[in-house]
Amino acid sequence: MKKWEDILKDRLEGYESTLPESSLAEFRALRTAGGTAARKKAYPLIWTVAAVVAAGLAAVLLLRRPVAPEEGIQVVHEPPVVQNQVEDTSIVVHPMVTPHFLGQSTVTKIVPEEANPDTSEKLATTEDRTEVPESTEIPETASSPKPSTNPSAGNASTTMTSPYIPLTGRTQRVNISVAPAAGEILGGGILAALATYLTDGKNNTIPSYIGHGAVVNSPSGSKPTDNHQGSGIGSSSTPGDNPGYYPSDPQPGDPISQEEPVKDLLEQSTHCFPIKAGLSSRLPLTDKLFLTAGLEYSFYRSKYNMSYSGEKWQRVHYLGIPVRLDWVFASHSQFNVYVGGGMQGDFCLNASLAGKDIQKDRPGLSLVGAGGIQMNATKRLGFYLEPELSWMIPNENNTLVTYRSEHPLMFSVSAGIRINLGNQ
Amino acid sequence: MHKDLDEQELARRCSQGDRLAEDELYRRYAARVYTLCRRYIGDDDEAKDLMQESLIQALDKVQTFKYSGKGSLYGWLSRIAINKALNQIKRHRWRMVSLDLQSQDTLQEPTEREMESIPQEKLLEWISKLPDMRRTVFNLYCIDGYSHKEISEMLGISEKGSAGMLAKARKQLKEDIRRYVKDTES
Repeated sequence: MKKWEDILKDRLEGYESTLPESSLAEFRALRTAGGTAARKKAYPLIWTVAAVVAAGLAAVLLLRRPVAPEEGIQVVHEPPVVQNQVEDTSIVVHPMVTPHFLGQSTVTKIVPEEANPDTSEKLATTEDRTEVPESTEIPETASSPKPSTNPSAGNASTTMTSPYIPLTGRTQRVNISVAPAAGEILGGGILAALATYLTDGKNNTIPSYIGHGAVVNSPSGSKPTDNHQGSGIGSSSTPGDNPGYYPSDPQPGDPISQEEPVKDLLEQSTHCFPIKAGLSSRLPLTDKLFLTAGLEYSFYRSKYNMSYSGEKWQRVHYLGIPVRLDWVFASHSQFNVYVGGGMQGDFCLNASLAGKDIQKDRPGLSLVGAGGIQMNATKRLGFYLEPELSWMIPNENNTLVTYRSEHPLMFSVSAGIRINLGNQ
Repeated sequence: MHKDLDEQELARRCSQGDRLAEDELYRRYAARVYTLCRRYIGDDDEAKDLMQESLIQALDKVQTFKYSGKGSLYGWLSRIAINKALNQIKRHRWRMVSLDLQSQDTLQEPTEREMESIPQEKLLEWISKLPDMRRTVFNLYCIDGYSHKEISEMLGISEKGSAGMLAKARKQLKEDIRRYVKDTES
């Protein structure tokens, strides 16, 4: 006896469906026009162009130099001490330049009266101009040094850099537009990680211990440079609970100098949401289970408002190695949607504060749960966007204060390129 | 004149760019290839486009056709059409995780007499209403004679998955047949 499927097969195999009358004419027209195969080849090209444009944009964004120099902050060891105060005969001229950055220093010109007989006239005119606007008012703190009026020190040159930071009281606005951010996310991860890696270690002799408020000495025993930074940025974000000191002239092995220390108090810290991008590969274990592993670059920025040295930006770059098990619950040739969980090891590539390298963070481990969507440009190459929830396993060796140390249970969004391995 | 040409000669003339031979090839095989496309692609208009694209591609590559007996030209054309249909299905399909439990198929098998009473258009209609993957696996396994191993490679699924989808397609078709038989008897 025949199976019903076999009967169905026999009945349909020779069956000729009725074609529309115009079908032969359509076929001839198509045959003359050369078919319709050409329209489908543009699809991968669009993605290739998009990826190249995104990578280029990311490269420009990440590697360009800022228009305004960021070297404006100059921290002096010790405020100039006014000895045998004499009548101030100098003219202080403040250039009426609105600083671009909060941390830009003010340049003070000091001209001795004797050298310029016309200064009394100028004094009258410049005094009006040198009125410090409300927004740039210097807070009156015990540790705030006064402008140098020491004739022997200040009048020796016509210009000097003031230790004052024009504190405007305004918060720096960080504009992130969608297009550069998307470019940065899509193609920039690898470039940024590479750039960070290549520049790593060029200035690592400054052992500033951010998070401990330690007095810093040069490890080689040489005299410390002026780059004493980081001390005062406490491991707690509570303002002022972890003062730091600027020693007058510390030597290796010296005890902490208690002579009129200049306290640089942390007034406020702000940790920005991290930017994450990655290169990932996915190996199918079963039809729906995949092993996902790769590299994930993360960029953390933190802003510290210091009472003495003003605003400082901390930039930390991590390279993570996530290993996850993903379950694809919906898929299409162009997209698939998945959830997964696993672990991620993070290695600090570089850390800097106010543009100067500081000690890197120790490696950390996180538990990661993620869900995401992957868009396949080709069979082997795709782009992914995945919101993820991670919990950083507590590690006392971590020294840097970042968004992730402040939020061990962290929600973030990662994007990147994924290579599909195995039989898809 | 071209109506009397055998498959081999027709293919040779087509490879020489004989437009009348191409028209003859279309007249002979288009309707059957169209049926095949309707089996794989649920929508009739899409099936017609796919049939035309398949025949155009076949004519472009007709010089690669090797005659191996009567019916080999249709076999060659049908493989081109099946490949194109699978590509289209893979491009547009969503593979969702099926959360419905595998229920036992307790429906009675349709008899030979019942099957013969069903019009072919009705059979095609039921097949075209099957979900994409079930329809494809049913066509490949039951009608075009591919094994589960071959199907799993063609569609990028496991053999077990292929067998599961075939079982669901069979059950759904049997339900349609039962319903039709019941309606016609009453």
